Amino acid sequence: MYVSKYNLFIDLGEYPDLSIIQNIFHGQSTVVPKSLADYLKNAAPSGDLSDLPDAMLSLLKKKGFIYDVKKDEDKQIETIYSQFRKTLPKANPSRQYQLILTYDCNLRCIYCFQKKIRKTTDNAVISETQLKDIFDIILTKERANEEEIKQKELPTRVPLISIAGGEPLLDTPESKKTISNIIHFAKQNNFHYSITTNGVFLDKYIPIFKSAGYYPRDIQVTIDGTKEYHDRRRIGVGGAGSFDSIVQSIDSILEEGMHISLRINVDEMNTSSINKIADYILAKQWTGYDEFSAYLAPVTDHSSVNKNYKWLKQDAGLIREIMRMFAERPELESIFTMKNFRGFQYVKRIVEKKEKAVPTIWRCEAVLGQLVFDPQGDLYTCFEGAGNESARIGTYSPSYEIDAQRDREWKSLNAIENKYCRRCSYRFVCSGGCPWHIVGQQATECLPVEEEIRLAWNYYAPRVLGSLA
Amino acid sequence: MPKDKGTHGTDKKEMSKLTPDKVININEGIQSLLDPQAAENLDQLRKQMISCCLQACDCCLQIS
Repeated sequence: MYVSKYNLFIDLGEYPDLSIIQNIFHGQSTVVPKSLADYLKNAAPSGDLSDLPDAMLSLLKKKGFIYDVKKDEDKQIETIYSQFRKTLPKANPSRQYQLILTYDCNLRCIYCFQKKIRKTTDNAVISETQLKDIFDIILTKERANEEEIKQKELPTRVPLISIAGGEPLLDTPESKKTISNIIHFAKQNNFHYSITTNGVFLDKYIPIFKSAGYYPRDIQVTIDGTKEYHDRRRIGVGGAGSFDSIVQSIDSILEEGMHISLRINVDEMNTSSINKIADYILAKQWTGYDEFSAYLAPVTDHSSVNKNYKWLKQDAGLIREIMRMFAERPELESIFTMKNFRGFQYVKRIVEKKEKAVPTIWRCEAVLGQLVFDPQGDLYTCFEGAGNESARIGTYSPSYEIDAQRDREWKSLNAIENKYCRRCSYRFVCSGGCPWHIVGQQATECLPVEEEIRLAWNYYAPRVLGSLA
Repeated sequence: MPKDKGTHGTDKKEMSKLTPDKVININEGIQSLLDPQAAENLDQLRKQMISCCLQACDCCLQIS
């Protein structure tokens, strides 16, 4: 027999006689006696399961924890990849387009990943001519997508235009005009649009959203804790804090019925403020709005520009601390979503939604043909890598040219093809980590997915076992 | 009598007595849908995967 290499055997601290077996390829999870989990774990190298009765072998096989031969598991993986590929239209499978209106910004955040790029781009902004070129490219791609979807009866989704920067909502007439043009283009073509902004001037854009009669699907704004923490981390050009104006914008946007995703960047500097920002969110009654959500996001340095920033943690220390806080104050879990902690999210989805956990084959839109347009006339597929020569896949202005080899390299960074992760048992949860990290640094970031999953199962064990009793 | 440690350091007798009711499901995996011969399964599989196979990008607000 072959014991799946994707089985994770999780000991449960509070339940010493039990374990959870989680298969992190096909998602099956079960509670078993610890002795059985230990037996399977030890049997994995040889595949000798001769001590187990036939009925148990047959059950474990049905659950996909064991196979007759390894080839059977490989075949399942192949099937899933080929079947799902068939459902994606070729012109732009992600159906997403990001517009970096400028690399300029009114803030000087201490961990900014674009700080080097901002200094070299002369405050350039996407021009009207460039915007027209971008719209033409999007329409061409989407017409091809639509045609293929219709012809092959593929599942469809609404294309998304994502507006980002630098800071896309600067307080200038040019910025406002550009935003207005993009909104009208999205409205005309029934595309969604979303905005990633620092939020300082966001409320000044409300009249533009209203006069267009077409609201963004989502506006992401970031605050890094309460005012005392935030204003030390997300600092205005002149040194002033940005907290108060962002909060005012959030209030106004929610009042208008638009969706806010509040991102809280966390690292070792501000973890201790999570409780305080939760208190603040509750006091502001933001969670009472259907259109409000908040999430904790670990600060990362995929562009390798913050090597002297001492607060970053590569190991599971951050998630361990957050889970400790969640255990002490369970209310936090309902205030903050954890989508950027993928191991935790993987387990949470199973426990809360009771749905089948499926393998994540594509880490993000960057490996699925997303196009990112910047004010230099360059094309990228990853927003975070934009502005870096090693990430560039071509140009769109003055002419549209794609470097086919680079484009192909990005697209190959999925859980199946990614050469760095082919042998890794966790590849269907983290999908190779950030693809920009691989392209820029020629190495995977190797996230602490295993520990996150173990921590999450231990955190949820009382709930899970309580519901099974 | 010392326990018979069996093939993998676990009590052989205990293993041989294990019954399927000791294995309790938390959720179903997608392995049952992976039979390429069953079109119906594959259809279900695709539906299952459409919303989940592509996850949200960490660096910004993309929501799958």
